Amino acid sequence: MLNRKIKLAGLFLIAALLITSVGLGAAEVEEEVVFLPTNDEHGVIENFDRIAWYRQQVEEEYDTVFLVSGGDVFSGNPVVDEYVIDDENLRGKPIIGLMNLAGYDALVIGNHEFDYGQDILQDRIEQAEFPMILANFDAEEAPYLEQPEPYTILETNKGFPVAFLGLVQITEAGIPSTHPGNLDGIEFFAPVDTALEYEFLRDEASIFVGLTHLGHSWDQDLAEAMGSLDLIIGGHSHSVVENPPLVNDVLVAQAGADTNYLGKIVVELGSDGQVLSRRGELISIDDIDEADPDVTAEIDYYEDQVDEIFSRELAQLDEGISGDMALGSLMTDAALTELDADFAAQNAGGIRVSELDPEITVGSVFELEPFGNELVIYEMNADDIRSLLQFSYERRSTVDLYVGGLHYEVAVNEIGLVDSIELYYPDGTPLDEDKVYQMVLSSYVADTYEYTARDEGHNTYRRHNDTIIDFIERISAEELAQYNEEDRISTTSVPGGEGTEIGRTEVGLSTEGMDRGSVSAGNLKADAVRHVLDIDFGTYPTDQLNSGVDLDSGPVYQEALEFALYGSFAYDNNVTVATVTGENLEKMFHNQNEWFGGPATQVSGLTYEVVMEDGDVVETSLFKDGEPVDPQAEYTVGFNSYVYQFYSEGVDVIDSYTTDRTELEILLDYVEEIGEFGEELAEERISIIE
Amino acid sequence: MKVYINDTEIEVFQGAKLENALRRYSKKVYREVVSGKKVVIDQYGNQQLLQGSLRSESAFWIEEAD
Repeated sequence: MLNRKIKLAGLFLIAALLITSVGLGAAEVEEEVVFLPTNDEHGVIENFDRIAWYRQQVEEEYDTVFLVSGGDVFSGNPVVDEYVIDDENLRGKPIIGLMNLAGYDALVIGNHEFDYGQDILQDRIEQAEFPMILANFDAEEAPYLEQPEPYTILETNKGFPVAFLGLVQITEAGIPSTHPGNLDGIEFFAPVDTALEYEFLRDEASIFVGLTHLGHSWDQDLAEAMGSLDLIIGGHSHSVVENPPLVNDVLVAQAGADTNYLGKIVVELGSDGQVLSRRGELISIDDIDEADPDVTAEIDYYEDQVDEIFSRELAQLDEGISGDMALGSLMTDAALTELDADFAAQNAGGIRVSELDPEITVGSVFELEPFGNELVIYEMNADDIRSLLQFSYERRSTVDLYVGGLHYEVAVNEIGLVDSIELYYPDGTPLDEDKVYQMVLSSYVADTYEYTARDEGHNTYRRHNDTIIDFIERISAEELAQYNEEDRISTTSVPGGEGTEIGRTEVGLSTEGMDRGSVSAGNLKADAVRHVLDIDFGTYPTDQLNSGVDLDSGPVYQEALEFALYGSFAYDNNVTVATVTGENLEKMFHNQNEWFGGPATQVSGLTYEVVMEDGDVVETSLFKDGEPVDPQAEYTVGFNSYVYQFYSEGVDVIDSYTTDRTELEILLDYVEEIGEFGEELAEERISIIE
Repeated sequence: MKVYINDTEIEVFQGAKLENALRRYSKKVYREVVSGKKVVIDQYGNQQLLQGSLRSESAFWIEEAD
């Protein structure tokens, strides 16, 4: 029997050091073994040349080096995820090829390794020149996957065995975090329970490593339950563990994600193979400044195929698919069809192109939905769906959610708030008010919108752009062309509308014409910033005004200010007050006008002229009290705290601070203080000279 | 599933990542983390990256980036 690990619990605990170290110290060191782990690479291939080079350097210094992965090498980079060459599905091939070249020694199969399907995972296991291991599952009934080894035992250069046991986290549903459709015929087991069945490996190895994809917190549970391990090299939680802790005498490490970090764990072995010490640290990939040229060449080879990957044709139409209604309908139909749900909703801000060209490619889908948002399913009844649609409409004062599987009609009152929403099936039949439906939302909508639901929702682990690709490949060109005819949403106006009256105005609050100059809603907001903060100039970014809103004169309702007019209010932004010279303030405005293609800023306390030629902004001039601003004078100016970064980019700012109060709070304070508003809101503060 | 950010209870869907909880907590803070101005620290004192998995009842704190 080989030497068992020598227990040192409680002897050494060096906490506040960048390097964690524990060991006997006095015994003679026979061999130094280094583990270089990465985890959650998620298709990031660009750093493997530096990892390979670093491994070579470490090999010169130490006796043995093991380069290993804590799993989830797939999913996150289209070069890897969409690697279909000459109609051959080779997803994942680039990263496994690079890991072969970099000299990886072992990998635990993480949840995302199942994302491409079992057949592709099997191909990648066969491609890998290193063991891909996993213990806590049974794939005997799996149609396309052969049972991988649960563990592997590698030898150091001096012949000491090192055991790696592979474990993956499972959810409350008893499966890893991937789409269940990828897991036919596979049964998973609780990772700690499974690990305990492999304690015999302690007796077969000098170093016993849990190579896990559980998450740092779960790794600590494993360590508590299984002190026979020497190390846990983990993944899944993307934890940047700079000081690997010693838990129950098990060193628990993890190296962030996306190959931004490389762990380095040094284990000293005595002459009988006993562990004398362990120490761990984390190396930033940015600190590795050389690269293996052969691996670099291979990375270049794959990255040069981006155009080919993105140009893969999915469909060829006679004309493109245009407009938010058509594209939103396509995106939602893709989501609900591929996930076999009842309905789906897509926010307008997540539709990133105005048209898909007649030749629809992988690349055009990634332009349409570049975020790779995962799709989430909620159980919702009709009122839950109304709550979602009402929130969405009122946050932008316009139709914001496009839908699949249903149609809706929203009635809006005179202050821009939703009066009622009628829900229909596509054939015009009203939804069953008592039925519970499966509604698909992107994770972004799930996170940032307000709504009720019958359950807490669950991740499907399918990315929206993947479902769109699959859906487009599934349906005919004729069916795709029909999306240009879709009309699933209608709005009507209804009289009335009561809210909380906090002021009155002689001028209607409007955003109409905002692209060409001052609008009353913009003037009101900029005035509020200047007055409440007692500064020289107030501003509000024109692109944050909700377009096409025109509220009547008369009462000013708090609800209208909250929801109808100002898009940035949904983000709880504050106001950043900057002190700048007149010259630099003019630069700020001009830069934004150039970007916007016209007057980009609603203002208070100043006026400005924009000179345009052939549609381009060529000059911006600022005036205070009718005179050009003094280039050398210092002015205090209030900006939306988020867009301030764009205004201040490349411009010297003397000083700045950001308010604790939000923009909305400042505006409400102002309206309640002033109470009555008149023609000043209708002032034209911006002029365009063409 | 519940997690805690700066001692505030956040409800997220099953299978959510840190990114989802942070967006639910505050879109503004989320953007500050994305931009690198702030970082998320877990209950063990480690930075956790946005795509990392969540464990129910785990706690996080927002700190200024170094």
